[in-house]
Amino acid sequence: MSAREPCIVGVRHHSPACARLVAARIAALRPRYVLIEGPADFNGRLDELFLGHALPLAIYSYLSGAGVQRGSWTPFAEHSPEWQALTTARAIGAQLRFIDLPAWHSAMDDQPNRYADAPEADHEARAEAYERALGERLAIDGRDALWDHLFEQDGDVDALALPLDTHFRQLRGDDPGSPGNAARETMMARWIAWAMARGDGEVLVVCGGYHAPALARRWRDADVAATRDEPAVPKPPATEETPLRHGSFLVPYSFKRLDAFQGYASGMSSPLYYQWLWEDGSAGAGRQLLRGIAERLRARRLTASTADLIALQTHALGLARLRGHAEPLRADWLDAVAAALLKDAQEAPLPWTYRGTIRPGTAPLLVEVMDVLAGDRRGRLAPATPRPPLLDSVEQELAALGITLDGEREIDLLVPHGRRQSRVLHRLLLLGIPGVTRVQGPSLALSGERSERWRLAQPLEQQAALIEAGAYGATLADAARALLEEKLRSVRDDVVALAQGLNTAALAGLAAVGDALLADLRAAIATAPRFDALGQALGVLYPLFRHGELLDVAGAPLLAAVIEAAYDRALWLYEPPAAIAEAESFAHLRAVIALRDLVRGRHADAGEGRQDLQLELPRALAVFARKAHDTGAAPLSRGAALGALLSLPQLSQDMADTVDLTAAIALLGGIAAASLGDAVAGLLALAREQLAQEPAFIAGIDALVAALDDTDFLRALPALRGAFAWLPARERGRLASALLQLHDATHLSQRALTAPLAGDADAVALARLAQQERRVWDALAHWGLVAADTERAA
Amino acid sequence: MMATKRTESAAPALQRPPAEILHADELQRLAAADRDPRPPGWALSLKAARAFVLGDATLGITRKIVAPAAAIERMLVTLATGRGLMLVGEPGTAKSLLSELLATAVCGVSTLTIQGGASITEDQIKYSWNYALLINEGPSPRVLVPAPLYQGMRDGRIVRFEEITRAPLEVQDCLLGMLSDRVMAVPELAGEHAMLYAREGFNIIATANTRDRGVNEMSAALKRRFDFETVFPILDYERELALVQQASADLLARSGIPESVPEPVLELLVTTFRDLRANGENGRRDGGMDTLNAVMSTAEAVNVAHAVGVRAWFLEQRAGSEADLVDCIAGTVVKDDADDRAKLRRYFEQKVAKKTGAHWRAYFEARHRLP
Repeated sequence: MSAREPCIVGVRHHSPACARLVAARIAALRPRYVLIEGPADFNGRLDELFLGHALPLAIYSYLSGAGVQRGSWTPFAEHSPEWQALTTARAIGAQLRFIDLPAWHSAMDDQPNRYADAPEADHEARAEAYERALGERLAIDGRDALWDHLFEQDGDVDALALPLDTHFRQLRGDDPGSPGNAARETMMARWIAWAMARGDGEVLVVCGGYHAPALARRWRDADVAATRDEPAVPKPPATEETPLRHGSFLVPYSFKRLDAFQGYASGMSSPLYYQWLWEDGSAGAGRQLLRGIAERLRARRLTASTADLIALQTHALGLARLRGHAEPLRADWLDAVAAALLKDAQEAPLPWTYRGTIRPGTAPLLVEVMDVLAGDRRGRLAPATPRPPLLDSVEQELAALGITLDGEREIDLLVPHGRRQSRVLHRLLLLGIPGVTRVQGPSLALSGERSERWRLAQPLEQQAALIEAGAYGATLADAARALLEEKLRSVRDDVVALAQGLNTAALAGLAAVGDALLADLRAAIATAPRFDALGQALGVLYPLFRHGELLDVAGAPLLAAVIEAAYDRALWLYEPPAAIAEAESFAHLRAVIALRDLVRGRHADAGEGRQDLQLELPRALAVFARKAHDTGAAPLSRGAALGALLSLPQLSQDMADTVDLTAAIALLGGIAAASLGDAVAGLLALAREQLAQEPAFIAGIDALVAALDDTDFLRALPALRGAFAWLPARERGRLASALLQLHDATHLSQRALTAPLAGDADAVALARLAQQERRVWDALAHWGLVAADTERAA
Repeated sequence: MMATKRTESAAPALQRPPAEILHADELQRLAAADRDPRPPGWALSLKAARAFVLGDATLGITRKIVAPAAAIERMLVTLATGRGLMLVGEPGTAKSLLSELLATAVCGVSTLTIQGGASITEDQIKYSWNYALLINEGPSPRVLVPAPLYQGMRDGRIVRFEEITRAPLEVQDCLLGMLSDRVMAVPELAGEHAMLYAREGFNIIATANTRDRGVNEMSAALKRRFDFETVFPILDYERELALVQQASADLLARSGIPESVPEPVLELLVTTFRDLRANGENGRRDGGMDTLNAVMSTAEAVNVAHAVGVRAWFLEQRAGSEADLVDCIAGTVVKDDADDRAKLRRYFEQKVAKKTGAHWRAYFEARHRLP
């Protein structure tokens, strides 16, 4: 081996400065080989990249089979160093190769974006410590601001090489990297050794800064015997039983998906800003930014007067000068926005000071500004690009199930074949493919309806929509799942919408999602603000989880995660005393019922030893007990908590401060007359089965009502009537009989109590009139005009 | 935010020396080493001012506050571009200390301070008269008694307006002309003294408390003349813990107590405060806690830690325990707010109950001490 060295350029993905450096290096060195960190299985089809697409685009690689589903994007924008390497190398006629493992390789697990801008978890601590120390020294907070300060300023490109090299060496240190990264680096080192062994020209390598130091060390160690031929690209381990489909293809991409503030598999923050930086340099980017912000804020009717903009620019220039920048950089502009345009106290930290999705409570103005910087540019593939496999996959699936896209079609959901058909159509519906419409069918996945009706057609836009959807995955299931994840993420702050999304997932038979989304959903539910919404969601989700065998969602981890979080949060929100408006009382009770049903269901399951849901049932019982004893709580809510305890006798009997029927009646006795009805309503809503036929309960309530004086009785009457509306007609009849028995009036029919009043009179009004009449009689008796009450009766 | 330890170089006679006396030697060193251009009327360049607040190891300048560098830079640039600076935030986030440090860094004087309040009047801000002389001589510059704003404009200094939203609206609005036209009319005097034109270097740093929002909401006209900067509680858990640890140890040492509060107890304290705080990073991560009405600032956490140590030592001559912490949180933080009491109890029953670790268990077991 000669003493020659390959030229290894470590880059930060999507950095314009690195893109400039790479292009300049290739132009100066005119290497024979340009090796790029990218999916090696795409090498045979590199020509497809140069068909004249509108960027951004991505290579989407997938692996799909029974039990395995993996997909990964390798996105390119014009200012990506890898893209500049591709185009410049092509222009000088160099040999181009992608040298990294294919995206479906197990080394790329949990890495949906090859060019994601985040160190892997076990390296994060080291990188952060280094960046923090450096930032403290330079008085700069945050990775993005630090990077821009160090490398993204206008200036001599070649002068960047050395500092970049030092920076990446410091970041990596002597970290050997995870097994996955080690496997990738072995593969890349082998390619470098191969190109060097050919000995017919310079070799230039473009790879992530993290890998650069390791590759410089390791390429010599690569197996020399193996360097004669191009390194073999591994194939996925397919067997007879588990046929695997895999491949890579080009898809259009968008700046929104690149943006770090979308949180998921993101590449970088503010892609449009860096595109401006690439096109026009920092002064030009500043002008574009100022114009973009002014236009957007005015379009949204947020304040952006000329004076504000002058203040903004002055501030940005001042910050740039203080920080030693010739022209303001991204952080200078954003800090200037915060200083000059915000006119109130902020509830959330400024979005550019942390990574991940924008936090709730962020000022609308800042959300708009971050959106302007993200841009809405979307890529478009050249017409000659081979079409994504999703189209074939959809055609095959439809053909296999005997679905033709024309006319109306009725599907029987009770047969397996019908369910399969319905599932495929629901997935197309989820992808928003034109021409697929459900005319009629059950809204809840677990409903009694047995059929649905679809209207199918093949409008012109259908192909285009499928190609676009191809960016989400190679098979219908993959694509629908990826889109579902995106949708769930977007509605995560609205629990009811989230439950609907999960219901859609059940209809489409998509029960598995990524861990990152699960964590996101958990966090979102942990801050959900409304108890009744959570209850409503639990009412939909728990039945799906428990009984969704037909839909293949029973016991799904996704549902389990959401239910666990919702249970926790619902208990938290249920406990504090809060008044309940009359309009919300029904929803409130439904929510308590859903919570109770969940506890009851889990208790029954625990007997069977099911472990798929981690709920601490005693906590719910403790909350119910505390609520029942809390004199400050709304009577409706108290009654419901009492009812919940009484309806869970097998669980609550071991509790310290449990409530039995006698205690319940005693508690009711302590409630003011006007709200007695509310409490009874809560009680009956939860424990109707246990109480309605229980003589002790009937006697107890009867005694409570009898003890009310006339005024209190009138006050309690409306709510009491409402309470007994929770009983179905037949049970009300039985209750009437029991009541008659109690008062030794068995000669009367129960109809005497339950029949509508004559002439549909309003019972409350009647009672009020009766009271008035009594008052008149009393007045007459007082003045001796008629006999007194007692004498009259006699 | 919170002050880190103050350097002990001040004259011992002062109970709380202002920043310009306390850090006089640092200011001197910075000024001597300062090579960068200074904005007109400033005592230091922006870089030196930043170093004064955030520290600079090479010059031996201590860090005086825990705050993001970018925020301090924004504040300095706001002042340098001649716009008023408004610091807003929860109580106890060290807004006043920050304004004191900034004023000291910019003009070397932090004492031109107006304290906002319901009873403040215009003449406490602008100027009043020596009435004995006024009756004898009639109005003249000699008779005029300058208030902080007058002095700041005359000498080109920073004027601090604390708790501006507590001052009545009409008093707030008397700042309008001074902020936009930089001139104060003194109609009682004639000739050149009738108008006081502000000299370079004059500016205003105001602070306002988000808890006082709505007491005397600022007018839009006045808001427009200020750049707002929200001061957050310390976002970083480790830093806050370290700060509480150090500050409480200092306080306990000053009270003559040999035991400091054990770290597990401080961990409980800081976590509880962060969980129940209105305005912090936790909203998302651990999430969903209802926030207390009480002030849950770092400063308050230090007070509680101090109280824990004092209580444990003077009652039983031992280090503070989890039970002491429950007592102190109940007593010093929650006070008599029934709503807060319920929330705190619920926090124990539902969140503390789920944590693992011996100290969390002990904390949970002590919950019966809550009021």
